[in-house]
Amino acid sequence: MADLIWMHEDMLRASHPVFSAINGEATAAFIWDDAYLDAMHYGLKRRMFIYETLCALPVEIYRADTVTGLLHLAEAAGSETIYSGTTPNPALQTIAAQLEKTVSVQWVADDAFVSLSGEPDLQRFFRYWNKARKTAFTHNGAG
Amino acid sequence: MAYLTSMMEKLPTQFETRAQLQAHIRSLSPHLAEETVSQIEGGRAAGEHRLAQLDAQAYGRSRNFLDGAVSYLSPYIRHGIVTLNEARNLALQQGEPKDVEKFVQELGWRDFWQRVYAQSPEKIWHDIEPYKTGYGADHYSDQLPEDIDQATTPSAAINHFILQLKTTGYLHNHARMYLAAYLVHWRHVAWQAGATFFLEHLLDGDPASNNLSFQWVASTFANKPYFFNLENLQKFAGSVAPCGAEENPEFDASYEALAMSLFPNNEALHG
Repeated sequence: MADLIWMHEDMLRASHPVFSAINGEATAAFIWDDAYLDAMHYGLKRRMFIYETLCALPVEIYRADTVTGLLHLAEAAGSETIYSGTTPNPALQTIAAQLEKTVSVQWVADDAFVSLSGEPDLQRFFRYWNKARKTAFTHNGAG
Repeated sequence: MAYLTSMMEKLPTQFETRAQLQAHIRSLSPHLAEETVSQIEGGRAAGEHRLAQLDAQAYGRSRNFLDGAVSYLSPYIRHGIVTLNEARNLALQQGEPKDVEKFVQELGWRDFWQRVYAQSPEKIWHDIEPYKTGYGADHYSDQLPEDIDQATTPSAAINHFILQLKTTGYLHNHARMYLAAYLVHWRHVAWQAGATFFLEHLLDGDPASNNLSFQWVASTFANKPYFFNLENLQKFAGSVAPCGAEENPEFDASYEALAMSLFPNNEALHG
């Protein structure tokens, strides 16, 4: 049994914390989902950029519907959990919700830019920045 | 299992040349096969190359100019190839916080947009607030005009920006603001149509940064609309784009005159 890492377009690097969240063997897969790419309005230039990035990563690329492809890979690997990087993209979260009907999805957050106590006011940038700047100028954004 | 396997195709990751990779991508997306491919390379190595060229202090001095010392890191940050954290940490090695403040603050904009996206994803494609242009949302067209797509507008500078966007997949932030303002305020195109056009072509196009910036220009996420005049265009873009008055007649006016022309129904903007 090997864990399955779902690499999506918001986490395309080998040093993403998801890789160190896994104990033992893992397979990382990116699903080349034409319907998803079309829905995101991505033209040829973007598709080339993403694919070129994937070619230098320890990732297998499959062309499929994302949910179908990931469930198949999880079943083949005997994985009950799919690990992936946290994303604000609701389309990816919808995919995860569909996966969770069959397997568990474990989100792993990327390195933080700043440390904030509580939810900042996001109505305007400078309301956020007045709090964020307290740690934005420290190494690793540490508080 | 056999049924599922038939719906999955393992794709190659080894190519001898970039041209072969391009041909592969075109074969995967035949409906896009006529599009240009950018010379900007994907991958961590290319992102690290950009990091190595970062001059965060020079960025602070010249970022608003189209020939300024911008980082070109945005496509790599957009896809998590390079993180905000490592870009900031590198900047802090290049000077005191006050010397690299503008660069770090720009990284903060990216973090801010992502937080808005996570908190309120429904805001990405809908007006967060009403337009403050004197027009209602139904005034604006959902269709991108043909001369925008073809880069044959009456403005040579705008055509220059459109061609750069479509061929390279990159635009300087100030050029994005000019083009977005032109679309919404001169051509009365709904910001959503402009945002979609940008997402189709920008390598770094992100629903949060792109759409919320468009909303900032349009005034649906700001207190007033963003617009510019020829003097501003010539100052910041004059070294790289055709900015003569005779080839950009729509912008050759004072801010007061443009405000009355562009926003006749909103006297608060007439200065």
